[in-house]
Amino acid sequence: MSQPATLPRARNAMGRREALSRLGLLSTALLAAGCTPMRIVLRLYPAEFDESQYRDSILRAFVLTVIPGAAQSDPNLIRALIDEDYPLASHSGYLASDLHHSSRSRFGRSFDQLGPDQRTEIVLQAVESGGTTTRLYTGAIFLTQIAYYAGIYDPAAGCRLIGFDGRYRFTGIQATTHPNPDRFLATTLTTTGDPA
Amino acid sequence: MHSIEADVLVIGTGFGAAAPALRLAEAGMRVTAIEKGPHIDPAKDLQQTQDPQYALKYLKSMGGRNLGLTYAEGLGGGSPFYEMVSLRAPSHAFEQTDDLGNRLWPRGVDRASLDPFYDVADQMLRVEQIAPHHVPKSGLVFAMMMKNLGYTCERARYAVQGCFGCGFCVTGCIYSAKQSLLLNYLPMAEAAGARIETDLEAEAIDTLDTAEWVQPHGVIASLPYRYLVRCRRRTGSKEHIQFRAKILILGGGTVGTAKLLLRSRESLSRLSPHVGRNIAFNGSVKTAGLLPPSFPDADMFSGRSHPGVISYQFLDSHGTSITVGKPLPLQVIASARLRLHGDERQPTFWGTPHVELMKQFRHRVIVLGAFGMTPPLGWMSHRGGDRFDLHLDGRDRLERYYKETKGLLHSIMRRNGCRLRHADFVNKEGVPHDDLHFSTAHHVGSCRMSDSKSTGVINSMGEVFDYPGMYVTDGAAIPTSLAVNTAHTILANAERVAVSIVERHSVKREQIVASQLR
Repeated sequence: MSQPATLPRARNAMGRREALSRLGLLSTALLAAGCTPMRIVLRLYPAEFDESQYRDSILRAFVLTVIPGAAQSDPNLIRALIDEDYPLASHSGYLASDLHHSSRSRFGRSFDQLGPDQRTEIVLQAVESGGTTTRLYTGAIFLTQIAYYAGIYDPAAGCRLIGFDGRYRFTGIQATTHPNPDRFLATTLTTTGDPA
Repeated sequence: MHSIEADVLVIGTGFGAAAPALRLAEAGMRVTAIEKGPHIDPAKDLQQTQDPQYALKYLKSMGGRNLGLTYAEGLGGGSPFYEMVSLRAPSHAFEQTDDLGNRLWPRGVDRASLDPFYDVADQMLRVEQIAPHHVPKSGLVFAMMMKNLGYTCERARYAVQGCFGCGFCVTGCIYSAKQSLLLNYLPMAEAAGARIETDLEAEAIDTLDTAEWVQPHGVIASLPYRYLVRCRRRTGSKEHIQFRAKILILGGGTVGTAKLLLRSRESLSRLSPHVGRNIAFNGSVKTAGLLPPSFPDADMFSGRSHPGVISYQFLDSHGTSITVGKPLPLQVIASARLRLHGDERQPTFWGTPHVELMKQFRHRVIVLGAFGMTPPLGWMSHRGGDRFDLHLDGRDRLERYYKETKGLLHSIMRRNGCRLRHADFVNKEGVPHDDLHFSTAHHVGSCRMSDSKSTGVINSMGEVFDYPGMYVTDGAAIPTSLAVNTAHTILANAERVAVSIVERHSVKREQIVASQLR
């Protein structure tokens, strides 16, 4: 997926003011300071990073950065990040936007066009930047790892990368143990469960 | 509001609730048991998945800065999801004392007095020691590590029949091999006449003005209705239901029972100030290492989820039992950021170095875990409504315990040639705990039994001080950490209390014991 020819346009400013007015409790000082939570809450990032193929392409590159070797063809690769059942869904547009702007600023290219080392550098910098950005990125990494390693969207498949077989297929008890188990077992201390 | 009368209202359907529900129904009492969580049919509802959304349907948590408690909400309480480990608490556990040297368990309750009830629990749950040829590979590797150092190790006991080691014990056994309460106590209670309702939450307890506040003796028919329990349906119409009960059994778990009593404190003004305090938590310490080539495959992803073995080698010297953790992938990555000691590559907990470790996880990693007799230093506070906070005191003592225990586990690893892994445990948002933190499903003691109201909430027979006919029979009653999994002791104690209730209400002890052993 190639990046847009121009940077996506900003959201409607009136919409932001209306949102502020409705929320009431938010201070304009926080907004002026570019406070990340406010930017997420008020969606102060280009609209194209919400629910677009471009966003998906960036998130896909993010997952492959967190888990090098993950199957690129996996249809569930970024699903956890945009699944409404998980908290990242409402932040995924901002996450994609932040990755895009960081990579443009540092390497002059979109995040999904960077090589693995450059992508790692971008994510590492975000993780170490502190405050809300760190929380957002560590949360996204955490969710990505759970979803991929545990195979949460395809329980039958598991995760081939780490040898997790997923749903049980009958192999028998002998496949779960070693032959001649007595050679492993140590001396016992109690026959009653009471070593006193 | 719908109103129902019952001789006995049992709140909860887990290990602490199921035995009283069965025994009192067998004794001819009109028993109703209510469960906050959903009905569970093992064949239809349980799944072999690591999806957090599935787990969160049944497994809940309460978190504080230094302590996290996990518990189950659903028919059978924790029994559909536990690891089937059915160990008796060692005698040491019953002899723990407070800072003044006073024994924490009440007079007359110790391992010997519980043994007959452990026998009953063993029989009901068909508990057996695992056969050597069923011990999972990870357990055998752990046993080999202990053997190499001249230490002892025991094959553990489990409530299971016909297990073939699918490994999904903690998401619920879909083959009904695990002898959860769904297969024994609960259907037997229903067969004996008990009524069981799910998706019904007890919100508050009140006393009835007509009650005579004397010790209730005599047959159940002669007892007054003493307690009013207001409940709310959690599904559908969310209707309100109130129960009038002569005997009230609180068996909603260490967290649930304490919350209910704290919410009801205004109407139960004579409750002990110890409600919600003295939470013991089996101080769990885990550490991971990479096995040297001389060890065989420790296959972390196959076989029953508890590894089949436990060592009491350090119970005397350190107050801990040791076993090997056998986590499924979700649990591993949900609770720890793993990296190899000495690996300075960046990034640490994601990216290439982390993937390299995860690839080795199944076959070459070993996770040792210790359960310790940590003092009852947890407590919860009520901020109003349904808002509670969890706290942990004694930071210095617990830091010492944590450091010493971790040192012990590291020593076992190192002397076996393992390369240590570093783990940063994280919270629900994936952010590392920046402080000492214990996470457990073995929490007990929030309404502990004791010799007096000045030190506990219930007496040695489970009855709430100054509230005749109200009993606590779940983990909340157990006053100390046990250094082993808590379920079997909770069940044995609940059987013990059930016998005493039946005995007090004119059914002879011999009859109920005979019934237990049938």
